[in-house]
Amino acid sequence: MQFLGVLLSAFFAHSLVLSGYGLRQNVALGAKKTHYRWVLLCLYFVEALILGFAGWGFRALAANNAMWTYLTPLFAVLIMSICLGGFALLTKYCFPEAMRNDLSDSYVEIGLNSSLLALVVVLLSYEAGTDAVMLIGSIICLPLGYLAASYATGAVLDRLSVSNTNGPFRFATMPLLLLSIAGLCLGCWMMTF
Amino acid sequence: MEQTKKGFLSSFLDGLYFNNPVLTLFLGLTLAVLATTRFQTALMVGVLTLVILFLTVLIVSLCHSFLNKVGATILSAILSACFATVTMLLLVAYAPKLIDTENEKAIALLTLVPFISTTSLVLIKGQESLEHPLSDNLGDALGSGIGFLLALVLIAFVRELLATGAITFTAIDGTSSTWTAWSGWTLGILSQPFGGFFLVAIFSGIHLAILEAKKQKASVAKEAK
Amino acid sequence: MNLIGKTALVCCFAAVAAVGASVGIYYGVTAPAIAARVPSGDAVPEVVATLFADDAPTGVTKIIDETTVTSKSYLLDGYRVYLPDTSVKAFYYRCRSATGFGGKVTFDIGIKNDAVAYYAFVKSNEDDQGTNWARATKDFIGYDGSSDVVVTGATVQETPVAMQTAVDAALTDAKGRE
Repeated sequence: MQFLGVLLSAFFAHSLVLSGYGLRQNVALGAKKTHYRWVLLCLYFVEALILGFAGWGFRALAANNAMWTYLTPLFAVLIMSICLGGFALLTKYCFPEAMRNDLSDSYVEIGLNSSLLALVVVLLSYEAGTDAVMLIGSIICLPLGYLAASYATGAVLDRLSVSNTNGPFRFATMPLLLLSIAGLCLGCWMMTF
Repeated sequence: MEQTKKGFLSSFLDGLYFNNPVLTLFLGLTLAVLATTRFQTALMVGVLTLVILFLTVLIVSLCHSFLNKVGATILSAILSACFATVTMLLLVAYAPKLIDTENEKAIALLTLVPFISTTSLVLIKGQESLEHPLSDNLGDALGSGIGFLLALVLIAFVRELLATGAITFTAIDGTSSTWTAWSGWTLGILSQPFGGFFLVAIFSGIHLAILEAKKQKASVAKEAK
Repeated sequence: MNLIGKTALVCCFAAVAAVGASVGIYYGVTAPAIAARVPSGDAVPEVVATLFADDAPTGVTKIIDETTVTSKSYLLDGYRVYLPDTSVKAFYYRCRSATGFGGKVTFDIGIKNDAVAYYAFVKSNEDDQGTNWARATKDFIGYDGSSDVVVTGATVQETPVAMQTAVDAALTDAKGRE
């Protein structure tokens, strides 16, 4: 039951709140004009998995040497940089041109931001004593839930932006979505009582 | 990459007000939500981000002829993570009581470092540095950094005041002092993530509405002429 | 060299410089500053060093005064133990159990953050079964006073109960200290 609780909270509550933090970068994930967004989703998921397990490793290293407590974010960024560099090369030399042009502006921000968010949450959301099964459940469920939430909020934002391009009152786009996310956070928070 | 010139002052004002990172462009939203629970945290994070942004943009601009777009973003991420980590290490060494995780009055900077390391503000401004000359980039970095700091401080001031009825300051030795504005009712829920999203939405909505009104006024005046 | 090669070179250089600067500042500035803040206390006695071998304690302060120990005391000796990880509050106690089946057991415990982390048997004049149990047991590790150490078997159950009385005394003493 506790395991199920961890999975559900990782999938829904954490992810919904977190998707708000990376809102600006999620637009491409839900944008209608990005035809190959599934590639971004795959990139994010693979990166988040790598970083989730790397975060686990860093935590183990930090138990023996306090240096890793402080240097984990830097090393996480380095791992992400390698992933992104690799993906950029893959895009340039292996992907068809249409796909390359479609993704060119989006994947860097999404890759860097969202996967570090995943790592941070993985690092923060489990206690030192959490058993391995729960941890692996969290590492897999969190990015999946985050992807779903990011896709949804990105799609809503994309549609709102399009429908309000010529609108007289700019409050109706991003701030409105932020208010909706605030409402979701309130709901998640109230469910914890 | 071909560069377009805007001028230092114009770039500065653009970053500070017209394209404010938090209120107009919604960059660094994570920090705007997480670091605004306390006025002092917002102030420290804002200053730290300003310094990191300026240094990152400076270095990326100087290396622009060796970088492509992806490289500029990766370099920005590495530099900002490095600066954030170094700042954290120095704070742990020289001001440990200020960031002590066991002291609830202390500043929760340890938790925020990963978010500062990859804030979209630094990544995107770093990437955009390739498109403009050095003076424009520095003007934009300075303006955006100060604009980010002011927005954070404004949101944090209102948020902490409404959530607790007071503003708390923590000194380097870990002692804290509180300026109480009122006692009795408080909106404690604003210290939750809800409060961050809600206030960013309200302030950005007002900011965007003012910009829109100015734009419409200008276009009406132009048409009248 | 093309732009991709130059980009890779700049990024690799930045990564090496970033890791070098961070590790250098950690070992040059932060680690010495943290070590200087760790209370040094007195030299670590051998019994404490052996019990806390995994934590490499940096110093101790005596907390049980020998003059207050009587024939009825559960705590015969005690130290506040300073560890490199300053967030851990650690204590060492030499405990003597209440009278069990026919005698008393003397044992050492190491407490970390209000829970027993280490246990070592010292001596016993309890009956053979009780002594054998006390010599082999690991049941006190993780004990924080919130639930009883239960042992089945009529003849041996007196010993754990008697020992738990002394462990409870140590935990109460540790919780009362800064």
